Amino acid sequence: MVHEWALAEAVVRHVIDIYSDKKIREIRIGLGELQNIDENILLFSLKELFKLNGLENVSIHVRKIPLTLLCRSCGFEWKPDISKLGEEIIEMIHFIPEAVHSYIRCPRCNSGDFEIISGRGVYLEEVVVE
Amino acid sequence: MTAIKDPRLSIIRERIRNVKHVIPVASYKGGVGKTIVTALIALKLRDRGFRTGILDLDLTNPSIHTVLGVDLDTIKPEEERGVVPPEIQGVKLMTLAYYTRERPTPLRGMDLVNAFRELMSITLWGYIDFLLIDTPPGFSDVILELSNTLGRISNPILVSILSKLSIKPTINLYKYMKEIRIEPLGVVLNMISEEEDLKKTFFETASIEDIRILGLMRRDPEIEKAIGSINDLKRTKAYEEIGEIVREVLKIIESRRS
Ligand SMILES: [Zn+2]
Repeated sequence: MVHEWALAEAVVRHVIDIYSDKKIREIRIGLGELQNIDENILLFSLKELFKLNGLENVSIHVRKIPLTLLCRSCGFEWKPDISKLGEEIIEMIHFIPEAVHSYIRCPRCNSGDFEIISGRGVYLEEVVVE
Repeated sequence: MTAIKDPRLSIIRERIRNVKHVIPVASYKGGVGKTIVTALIALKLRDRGFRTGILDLDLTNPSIHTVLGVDLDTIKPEEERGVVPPEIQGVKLMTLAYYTRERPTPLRGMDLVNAFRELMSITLWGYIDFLLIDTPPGFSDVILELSNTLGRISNPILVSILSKLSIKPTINLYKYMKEIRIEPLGVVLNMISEEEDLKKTFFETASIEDIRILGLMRRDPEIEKAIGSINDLKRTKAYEEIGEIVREVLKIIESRRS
């Protein structure tokens, strides 16, 4: 089992921690394009982990979030194509998305000082409880 | 409705649950030899039979792997429901360098916080006795995150050289930690060259007495040559001196337990 499991653990633990007194119906996950998470593996891990915690019927929705970067140096906003970086670099970023600062520069001014405006990694967007 | 926070914050403490002692090594000033002190302490603890790990949180300039001579082309963490830090001669090492490959990595603000939280939430340390943490110099994002997310950091070690520029901020940091009820293990005085009464010099500059000195480390020209080879590091004079410091650390930890 790959490291998506660890991220799923964080989500499940968090949901159970904050809604310990409620019945959890549904969670909505945002999946940032940058981290290149395997959606099926994440879904599998989330389901297994909810099950292990006695929650069989939580429905899980995942939506992909495109990557947008904003250069802090010149103000340029762009949507890089991560798939062009090559397998090895994609894997580095997969583990720690901030590693993107080592491999991408602003196409306009070449600065590595940019902000990930959206599409970084795994976000817990909403929890629906009864 | 309860606010959704960053879910990673819910798992970070779990990830170090089976680490008996977390020891951040900090210095207010850069260039005082903190990274080498961290590496030597970890190696010495391992020699004494303790299960030991090092986490390099100097995120924009990770360099513990360089001290230990880790070849980033061949050594990387295993993926196993998280990532398992590789063992370097018996010491588990986690560093951002596995992923940034020694390229310049400009990080600030939320990037630092995110990189910290991601590392902390995916790294599986397992059962270890000591986790040494190399922190960036100063007192900003990463070290604040560290103390907030881990709750009480009970055992920091401060590293200082014998310059007023280093002693004063070290004393201030030490006092500040006590004010927020963190009890430092003490101060390592590093890169000492004079033969005078060094502790006296330190306290005259510091003008207070309730600060514990863990030990002194002389300036050792052999260290620079030994960087990159654990075997060479272990043959230095500094490695003997670190033995005294580790003995002191173990004594303090033992006395705090009882
Ligand atoms: Zn730019």
